[in-house]
Amino acid sequence: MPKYPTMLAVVALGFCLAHSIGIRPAIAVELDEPIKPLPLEVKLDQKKVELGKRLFFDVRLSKDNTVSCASCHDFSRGGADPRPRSVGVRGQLGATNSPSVFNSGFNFRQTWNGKAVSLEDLIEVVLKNPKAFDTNWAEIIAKLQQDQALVHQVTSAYPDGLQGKNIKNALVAFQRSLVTPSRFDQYLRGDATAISDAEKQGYQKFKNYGCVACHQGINVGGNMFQRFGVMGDYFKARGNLTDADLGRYQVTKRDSDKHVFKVPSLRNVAMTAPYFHDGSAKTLEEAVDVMFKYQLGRTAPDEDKRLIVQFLASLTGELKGAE
Amino acid sequence: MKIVRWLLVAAALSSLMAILAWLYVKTQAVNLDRRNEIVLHLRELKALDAQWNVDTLKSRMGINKNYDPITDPLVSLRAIEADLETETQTWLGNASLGTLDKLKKAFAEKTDLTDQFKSQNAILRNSLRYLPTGTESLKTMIGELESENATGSETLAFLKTQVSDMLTDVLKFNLIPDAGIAERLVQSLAVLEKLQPEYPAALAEPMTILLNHARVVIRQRSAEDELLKALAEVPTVAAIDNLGNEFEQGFQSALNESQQYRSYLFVYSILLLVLLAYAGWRLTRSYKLIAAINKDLKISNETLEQRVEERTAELSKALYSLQESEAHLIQAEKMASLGQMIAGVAHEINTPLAYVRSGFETVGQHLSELVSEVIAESEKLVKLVGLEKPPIAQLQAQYLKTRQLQQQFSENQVLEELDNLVKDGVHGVDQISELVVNLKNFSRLDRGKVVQFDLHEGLKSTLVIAKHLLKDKTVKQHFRNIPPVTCAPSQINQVFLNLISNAAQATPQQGGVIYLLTGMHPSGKVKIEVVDNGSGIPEDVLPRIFDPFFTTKEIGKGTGLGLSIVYKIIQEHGGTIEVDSKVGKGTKFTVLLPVDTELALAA
Repeated sequence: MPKYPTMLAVVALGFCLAHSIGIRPAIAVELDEPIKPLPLEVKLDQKKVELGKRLFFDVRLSKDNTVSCASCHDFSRGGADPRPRSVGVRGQLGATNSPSVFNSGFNFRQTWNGKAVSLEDLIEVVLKNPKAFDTNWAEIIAKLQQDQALVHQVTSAYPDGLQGKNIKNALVAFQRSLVTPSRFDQYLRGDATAISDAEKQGYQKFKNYGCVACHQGINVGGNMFQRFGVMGDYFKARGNLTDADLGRYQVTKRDSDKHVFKVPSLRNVAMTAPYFHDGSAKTLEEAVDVMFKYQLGRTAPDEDKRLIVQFLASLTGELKGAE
Repeated sequence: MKIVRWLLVAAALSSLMAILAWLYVKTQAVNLDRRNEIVLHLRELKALDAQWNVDTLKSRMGINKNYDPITDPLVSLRAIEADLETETQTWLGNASLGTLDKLKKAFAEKTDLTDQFKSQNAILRNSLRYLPTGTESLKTMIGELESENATGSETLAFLKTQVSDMLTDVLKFNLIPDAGIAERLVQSLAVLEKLQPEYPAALAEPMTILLNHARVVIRQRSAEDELLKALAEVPTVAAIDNLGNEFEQGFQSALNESQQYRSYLFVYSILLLVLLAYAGWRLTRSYKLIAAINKDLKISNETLEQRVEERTAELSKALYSLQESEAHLIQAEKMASLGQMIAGVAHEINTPLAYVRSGFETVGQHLSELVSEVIAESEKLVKLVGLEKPPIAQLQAQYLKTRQLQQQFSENQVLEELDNLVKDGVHGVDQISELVVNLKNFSRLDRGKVVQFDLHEGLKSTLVIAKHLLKDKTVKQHFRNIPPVTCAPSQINQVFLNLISNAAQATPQQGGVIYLLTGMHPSGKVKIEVVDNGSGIPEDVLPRIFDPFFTTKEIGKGTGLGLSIVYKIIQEHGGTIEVDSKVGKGTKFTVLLPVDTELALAA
């Protein structure tokens, strides 16, 4: 036993010595977890971000000047649409519920079926979708050309002036700026007190029950596709099959891709009800139930589900940079 | 012309340079930096591909805790593919886009397979995680049922064993997906399912879930193997190598081409160098020439001033001597005129002087003889008278002798003759006196300055002076009323004398007529015309008569300055002189003089 005090003294001495010569051990060590924290900062051209923000709220991007990007991506609702299905030009009902725009830069593909491979692509898809903006660049440019202040702002950020590619680039820059670090990120970075014990337990359940098999990585999802209804037929149970329910099949036309969707990010999930591509789950609890039944193919005590929901709430972050 | 020449030279030079630049660019066709960049891209892609494979296996083994490592390559992949597309079009043309498309297709396939792998791997892992716990909780449930209920315990015990065996087989199958194990598993799953109605109802749901997951493992594990096999077969490496080879070939041919152009460039450069050397040689020569000229120029510049001074001195000297000789000539002319004048004047004086002299000689001869005899006899008489006792005879004789002499004196009219002789002498002296006055008038030596002058007086004086020239000539004077003219009289008289003597010389010995006319010209000037009926002046001579030193007289007889001086004098008085002549008919000189020559001169 006399060995330990001696070792302790040696360690303490070494620590002080290292500290005095400037070597400070990283006290907070990033945890080795399936979920990874958001980066501390995203480097972007602020001029472009500002321009993108302005355009994000600009209804002139839609054919009949009724909807903007912000119409379906409500910043007070986690950047998602509180309506089960989004509404486009001429009041048309969209095919799906709009996923959150927050942290969307970390998704491997965009839209539920992964039709858009990038944010740039996404803008094109939304723009040309007859049920979304139903327009084209020529129309948009013609409208924006009238706005001298905007033209000036575009020119100050892009020397080649008002062009579709620049508008797109600015919108992408703004979307990339929408990063929401949460308490859970702090926990991942080593701050054990950032989340409560209940949330820690919930996270444990989240891992144990296998949720984490799909909802992992930096965006807690958003990096893979998965069939909706692995362990049971969700659509048969729900009924009223729509084209949108075919999921990735719409893109690949491959039978094995029927009902396959992009696994959504769970960041800010507590804010983004309703859930799933069809907006069918009105509450997070309901959504967790559906996931257990059709994805995990197992049951769990209500207490465990409650803890998981609690953990999910710790993923709600604060919008950094642009508001 | 100069601009055109410059433009031509500039055009020639720029085309030479353009050819050089073009050849140079051709040799630089292979941009090694870009080539390296492409090679780097391909290596990067290969590394990415290899790492992707590793990460896929790590995900398969559960070493990677999330799918980010096999998702992140997508972003880099898209960027590299975009770069490669640009480079391919730039370097290899659209023909090679097929090779690039193959590469893109291979990676698209790989991406798709990876996406499928992630989906199935997530499901597999979920089931694998569940199976042990699910089996455990089922066994616990069975155990509870066994203790509660003794009936059917054999079935329950069998079930327990079957479930345990199944779990073992599933885990084994997961490690080595052996066909034998799979067969056994399928059999045992079928047995378990078959036995289901015999189980207590409470076991139905957990059993179904457990069997489902076991089936999922069997299904997904086989699918995963197939996916991994397919992934391994995606020809990404071959596609990268193919594209790399095409790039290398493209580069090689470009390199060969640039090598060829390099040799052209070499030859062209040598030609240019020769041209340049020639131009340099020409330039050096020109430069030397210019330097020599410059040197000369500098020297002559230095001596120029001196030379100018010398020349100026020479010139002023020449001018001075010219002026001097002109003055000499003018003087000579003056002397000639004076000679003429003096000859005339001497002749004129000679005549009265001759008879004055003869008169006096006569008076002298006669008077001295007679008067001295008279005086001597008279003195003798006076002496006799004066005596106390005068001898009367003697007195009488003497008286008679004296008386006789006296009578002789008066009888011979000696006194009258004497008177006449004296009168003649006075007349001669008067004539000489008049001549002197005219001479004085003519020369006006006492009045050289400008005065008001009666031209008629000048003409008359001149005629007197020139009288000897005008013997046997008729001079007709038609003088009108003209005002006095402000002028230098001696100069004007010189003009008149010159013109009159010319006229006299031109007219024949017999029948020569000279007209002198004066009057007012309509311009307000005074007009003097000297007209003769002489030989006239030939037309070819006429324009030159006022030139200095021009003369038609024999050498030595005239200076040739007469008329030129006339011209000069008239000009100085602000007047003009004109001549009108016809050979054989005569000549007319017309002089116009302003009344106030001073004013005219001032103007």
